[in-house]
This record gives sequence, structure tokens and C-alpha cells, in this order.
Amino acid sequence: MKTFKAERLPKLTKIMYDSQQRLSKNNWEDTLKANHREIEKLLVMVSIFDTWRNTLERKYGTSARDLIKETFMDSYMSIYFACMSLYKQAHVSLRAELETVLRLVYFSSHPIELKWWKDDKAFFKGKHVWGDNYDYFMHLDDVNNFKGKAGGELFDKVRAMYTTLSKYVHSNFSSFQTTIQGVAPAYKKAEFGKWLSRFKDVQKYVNTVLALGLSEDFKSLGVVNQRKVLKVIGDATYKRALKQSLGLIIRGRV
Amino acid sequence: MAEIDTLRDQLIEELWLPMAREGGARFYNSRRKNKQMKLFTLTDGINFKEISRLEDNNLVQRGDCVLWVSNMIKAVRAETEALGVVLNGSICDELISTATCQLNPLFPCDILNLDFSSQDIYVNNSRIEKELEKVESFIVLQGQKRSKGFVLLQTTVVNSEDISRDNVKRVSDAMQSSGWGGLALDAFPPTISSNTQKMDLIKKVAELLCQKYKYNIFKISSLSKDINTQQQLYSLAVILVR
Repeated sequence: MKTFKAERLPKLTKIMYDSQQRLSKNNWEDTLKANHREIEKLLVMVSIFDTWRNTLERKYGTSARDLIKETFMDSYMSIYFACMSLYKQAHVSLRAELETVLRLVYFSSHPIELKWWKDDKAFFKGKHVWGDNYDYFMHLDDVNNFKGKAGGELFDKVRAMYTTLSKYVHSNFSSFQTTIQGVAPAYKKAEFGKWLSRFKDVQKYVNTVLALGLSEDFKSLGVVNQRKVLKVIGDATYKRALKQSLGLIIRGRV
Repeated sequence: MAEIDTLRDQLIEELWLPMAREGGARFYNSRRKNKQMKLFTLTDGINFKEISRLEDNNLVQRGDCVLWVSNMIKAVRAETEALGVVLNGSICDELISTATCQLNPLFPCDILNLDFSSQDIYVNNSRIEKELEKVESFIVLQGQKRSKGFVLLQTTVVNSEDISRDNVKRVSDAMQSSGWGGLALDAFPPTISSNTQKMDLIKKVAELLCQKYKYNIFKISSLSKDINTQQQLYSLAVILVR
């Protein structure tokens, strides 16, 4: 078929094509009718990766650019899937986003390991590049300073979120996309709300990990961009702990 | 207050298209049906009006353009149009004339649409100075890639922010070119505050850069549109030839 003509599709393909066209339109519209302001805010949040990319690419080159682009795309696709009412896939994308940022921080100071990882060497088979129990991050001074100021362990929260999101990757029963009422994805207020809350938490953790793991780069962003990052993080305790542990001089309310 | 998008549409019709047509006739006279000029454009990532109008006028072909948008959300949007290569980022931070720059293999181009007003540049500190530096880097890149001539469209918002004459000169003079004695801007005051003088300076710099990089000016034209009483959208169009 040189020119696409839906009516010439084979029978089952045609049925699937028609239903997905309709689902896409209806689910986007139902989601946006109720949540367009919230979605706009999320898109502003993920735009922060443009700021990170501009800085990190200059220092770490194309690898950092590629990882940040992928991080952005994971967050963007999570929004996309949520708007399509594909909540399981929206959560899977969030885990991918979290993983990519953890890798980015680790690889920023491990160029040889980065090459091994890109070459798909067996070295990382069956384990995270950042080690068991987020070992690598536990040895970073800025992470430990932050822990003292925030009154809690950031990576306990990251671990808990990772575990939750992994249930969607591994298709635990609670993460099923089909329900007793039907198989077609449809806008569900409660499911959307659950995803939305996790989405915001992931952006908080991801930006905090970047700010602590790449603290010199975060400090070099300048006050305007530091404010933007802190705004995405949102949590007042985290913002205060970051300002204190990194010695940021940002006047006024952030 | 006029919308920048509306004013940009006017610039397209009144300045960019006539100059691109003239450039097309000058550089590709033998191409009758379509001039197939290679376009690099700083675009808004929303409606791509300049591309569609150049396409309508048989000056460029869909799929052959190089688009630069300011962020990744706009890049996704731009890619859905299948207009060509889409790049994104902060244009003012890009090291344009270096060999490792992602733009390098995509040049030379026949039309350079340096519409800085499309790039969400929120920097208010030396913004126009930075844009002028980028214009020079693009001319350098065109020269490095042995371009014999091209249409340069340069557009910016002129507002209440002053321009430092010496800053413009210092940055430009740091980019050396054999036999060049430096940017002569003595006719301008050290601090340029009036919008008319700012536009004159932008035009003068473009003329001097042509000399510096050994291009002749085949034609130069400019247009400004009022955004409000303090701000203007200024566009300069130059056909450079060697």
C-alpha cells in the first residue's frame, strides 16, 4: 500500500486501527477536559530537562545529552500514556526516567563504565550500575549532607518509589490495566490521580538526585535556573535542605 | 499590543519572502520549478509559517530543511511535520563554528533564518550582544563550508535594554580574520539606548561582518514592526555573495 487507506487494511488490523483511533481521541479529550491545567504544569516541570541538558552537555559531552534527552522523553511519554489512559505504561516510563537519571549521575564520573554499558558488556549484567542499595550515592558527601539537613534518607524514598514503579514493569496484579469492567483503556479519575502524584514525586527525586549528584553543575546553573529546579522539586523541606547543604545563595522565597 | 506571531507573519510576506526569492534567482537561476534552497531556520516550533511559505513559493522543499527549536517539547512537535532535521537547545549557548558542533555537517545553507525572537530567549543581560555573536559564528561557519553566497535573515526584539558598543566590538574582535582591523563602531555612543540606534547598530554590524569575512552585499533591506511603544520586532535581510 503506497498511499495509506484505512479501508484497505486487513480485517483484524482494521478493527484494531479503528478502535485505537477512537480510544486515542476519546481518552485524550476526557483526560484533558478534567486535567488540562495540571498537564500544562507537568509539561513546564519536564521542561527543566532543557536546562539540565544545556549545562551537562557542555561539560560531559554527547553522552550526557543523550541520557538527558532520554530522561525527558521518558517523562514526556509518561504524560502521553497517562493522557491516553494507559496508566500501566505511564508508570513504566516513570521507572525508566528514574533509572536513566541515576545512571547519568553515576556515569558522569565513570566514563569507562559508561563505554562498557553502551557496549552492553556483561559487567553490569543483573545489577544496577550504582550498586546494591544505592551504594554509590551513599558515598557522595553532598548526599550525606542533604540527609542531615532533610532529616531523612532521600534514597529510602527513591527505593520505595522504584519498588512501586517496578510492580508495573513486572505486571503485578495490582498494576493490571484490564479490569472486571472491560479491557479497553478509559479515563479513570482515581488511576489518573495516583499516577499524577507519583509523577510529581519522581520529578522531585530526579531533580534532587541531579542537584546533589552533580552539585557543581547545579551550582553553576545560576540563580534563575536554580530557582527553576527548586520549583520543580516543590517540597519545602527538600528545597531548604538543598539550599543549606549546597550553600546556595538564593534570596527571597523559592 | 501586537502579537509577535502576527508581526512575524507580516515580516515573512514583506521582507523574508521577497529577499529569499531574489536570492533564489541569484543563486539558482537555472532551477525553474523549484529553487531547492537549503534552509536553516530558528523556528518557533508551533506553526512553521516561514517554512510553509517558502515551500509554497517553490524556494525550499519539505524534508530538506534544518530546524532549530528552543526546547525538547517543541522538537517533538517539529518532528511530526517531517520538515527535515530538527535540532534543539539554547542557540545562544551553542558553539556554532566549532567542528564538533551538531550543525557542522548540515552546513552550508542557502537561507539562514536567524529569528532569535522565536527562541524563548529570556536572558535580559546582553541579549542582543549574544545574538550578534551568534550571527557572526554562523557567517564563519558558512565561510568554513565554502558558501559562495546565501540569504541572511536576522530578526530580534529590540526593547529597553541598552547595548554596549564596546562589548559588541570586543566579542567580535576576539574572532580573528586575516587582514581585519577590528569592528569600527565609533559612530555609535558607548551605551546605545535608543531603539533606532540599536537597529542601526545591528545593520552596521552585519555590513561590517560581510567585509570581515569577505562577502559582498548584493542586497540589504530591513523592516521593523511595533510590538508596543517600547518594543519593536526588527528584521534585517541581506544577500551575501562572494
